[in-house]
Amino acid sequence: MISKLFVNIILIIFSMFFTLVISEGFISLFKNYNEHTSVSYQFIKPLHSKLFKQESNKIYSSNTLNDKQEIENIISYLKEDNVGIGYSPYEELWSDKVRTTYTDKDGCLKQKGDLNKVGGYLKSTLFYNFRPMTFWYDGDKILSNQSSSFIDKYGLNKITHSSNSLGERTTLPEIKSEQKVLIIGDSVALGLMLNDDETLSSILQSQNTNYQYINLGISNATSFDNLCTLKISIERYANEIQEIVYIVSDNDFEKYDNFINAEELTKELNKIYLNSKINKFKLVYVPYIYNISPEITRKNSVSDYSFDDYPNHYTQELILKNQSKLFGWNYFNFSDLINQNKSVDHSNFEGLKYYMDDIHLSKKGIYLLANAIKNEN
Amino acid sequence: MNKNIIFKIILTILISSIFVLLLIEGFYSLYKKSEDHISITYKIYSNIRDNDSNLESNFRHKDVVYDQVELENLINDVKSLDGFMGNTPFSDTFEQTLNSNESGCYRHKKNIDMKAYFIRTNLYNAFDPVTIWIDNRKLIPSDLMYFLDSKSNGYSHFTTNDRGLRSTNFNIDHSKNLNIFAGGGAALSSMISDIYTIPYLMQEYDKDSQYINASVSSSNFSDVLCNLNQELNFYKDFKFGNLILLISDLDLSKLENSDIVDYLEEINDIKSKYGIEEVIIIYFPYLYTVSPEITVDRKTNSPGVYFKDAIKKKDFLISNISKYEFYSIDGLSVFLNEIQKERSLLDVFDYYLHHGHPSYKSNALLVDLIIKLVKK
Repeated sequence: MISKLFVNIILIIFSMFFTLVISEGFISLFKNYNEHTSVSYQFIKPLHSKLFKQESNKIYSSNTLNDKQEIENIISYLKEDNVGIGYSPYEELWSDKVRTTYTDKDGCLKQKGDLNKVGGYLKSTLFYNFRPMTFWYDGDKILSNQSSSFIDKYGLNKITHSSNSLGERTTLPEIKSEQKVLIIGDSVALGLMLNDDETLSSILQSQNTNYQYINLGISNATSFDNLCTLKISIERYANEIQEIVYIVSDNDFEKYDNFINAEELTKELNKIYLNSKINKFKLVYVPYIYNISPEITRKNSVSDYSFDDYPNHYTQELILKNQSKLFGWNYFNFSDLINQNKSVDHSNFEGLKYYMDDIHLSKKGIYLLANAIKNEN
Repeated sequence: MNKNIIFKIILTILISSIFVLLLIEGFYSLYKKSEDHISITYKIYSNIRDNDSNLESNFRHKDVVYDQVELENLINDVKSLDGFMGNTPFSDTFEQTLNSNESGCYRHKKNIDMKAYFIRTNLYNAFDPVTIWIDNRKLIPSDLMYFLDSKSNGYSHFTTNDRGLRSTNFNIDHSKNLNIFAGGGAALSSMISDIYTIPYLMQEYDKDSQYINASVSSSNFSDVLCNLNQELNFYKDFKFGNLILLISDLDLSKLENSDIVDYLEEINDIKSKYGIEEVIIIYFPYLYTVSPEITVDRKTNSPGVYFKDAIKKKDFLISNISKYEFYSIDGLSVFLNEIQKERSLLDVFDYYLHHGHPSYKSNALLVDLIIKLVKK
């Protein structure tokens, strides 16, 4: 009797274990490329963390955000204050009020007029390695204590991001001239995460007060959006445009709605260039940091936040280069500018200081680009 | 055999295979416990896919080494140039080229003249890249030359004098004060050219004094002290000026708090014994301590190289330095301040050559701070 009971217990335990292993196997296959932890241990984890205090983060300074829970605890305050947290999974915070852009009736993305935003990076070990989280809020908004102390504690910086009534980013110093230079592209041209007086447009303006530099950059704009903006601006500033600086960044080559490849884009730009009798056209290609220092930046990330398999875009870049030559434009590959300005260090870290995150140029990067553009005049 | 039996056999094999696969996946998942992992099946599939030449050319880069074989193929050429490769699994197969133990201290060989290259590779630790060292006086074979030109950002120059000290461009002159720079691997900063090291830059600025570089590529304090004492003894006829000592996270990671106290006490004794004017101690953090936000391995939520309690140890060091009449420079505060000014977390890379060595900009910044301190 006892022996039969024992056999039955063993059989039950074995069947349970067997079911558990098979279930774990199913889940593992179901998750395919996504990293995951064993489901059994996910159940055990809360109990485990109560029993064993975790000490893994104690080497970090107190103003580095290491725990998602800290954001999740104040998310209702952030929402109430219209604070957006960028480069994070908290998409619920990106309400229309937080966004700096809107889509017009023709489906073109535009920057809102009369913006007065405050933004900055957060110091955090969460999510992306080379894409630090950002915060955004209206400059005239008084934040709750919860939101402001969170930003003060973990914020690296605060910048002002403003626009005029037409939705053009503020360029400083303010110059009025009948000779205009248009800077156009996505957030790289816009100078996202830089102060109004640090953008490419502002740096070029401070170096040349004969021309009026106009920043037409729009965050998240695609080539399709840029062509919309360019056509409108050419009508707006008819006969005053001396030069166009068009910035193509790596994410313009990613497939999305209304995707335009490098060849189609350059052909379209050349039509505009010829029809509007502009003196100079300068095309700038700014790669992602994953294509500047792949050996440094494509590691240590978890799969949801990884760019390990990001394309090198050699083919698209070659098209930009060749088409520029064909159309008589000046062409700048930011990667080449870095290589031409190597320091005495000869280090693999050379290119990284020119970026603030994986795509946006730092002040040093902007100066490098501005000097190259200026020297081609 | 009729078709029905064949079908049954195939079905049985198929179901058994799936069953075995699920069992393997399940066991693997349980084995990994709370660690993030990817299904074995997809890992194998992804490896096969990554080896596909079309995809490879799409996300790989022509100036980066992706395959260890490329490095292994260079071993003989590098050996023939009395060189070595650092930070690879096969680095131990090379003979010790830079250091010797002849004088009782672990120190550099005399009259070395080497070129040092960082190799661009996604193998191993991204923040501590593979290095190739070769004798500057030897002719580089064309294949190796092509590799170095295409897979690196150029080379730095490392030389030692006839005492095995890193060159500082000084002429022995008894009328001038002799200043000594000492420390371990971070102080030596072997991957930057001689002319951009701290003592060389100090020598350029302070032409009325002389500087020697007694640093050594070891993180062991007994080696640092041994070299320091040997040089002080050798130059005992000189009037000593300042002792500049650089201590890194790696040095500190090997010390208990009581060792730090003993070490500072020994430095204080040396100061009294040799009549050193000022002692300036620089704490130089590793990249991981300054920028955990960028360097932390998200997969394991731990730094690339684990420096346990780096900040705590640094605080202990700085607070103990204040007990003596020493000057101190806290590199962590210095670099965080610079990053804050530039308002970019990635600006940290302007101050490092790799995870633990200062760049030229870093050295120039520290030299400015030393000069300001000593001038007070």
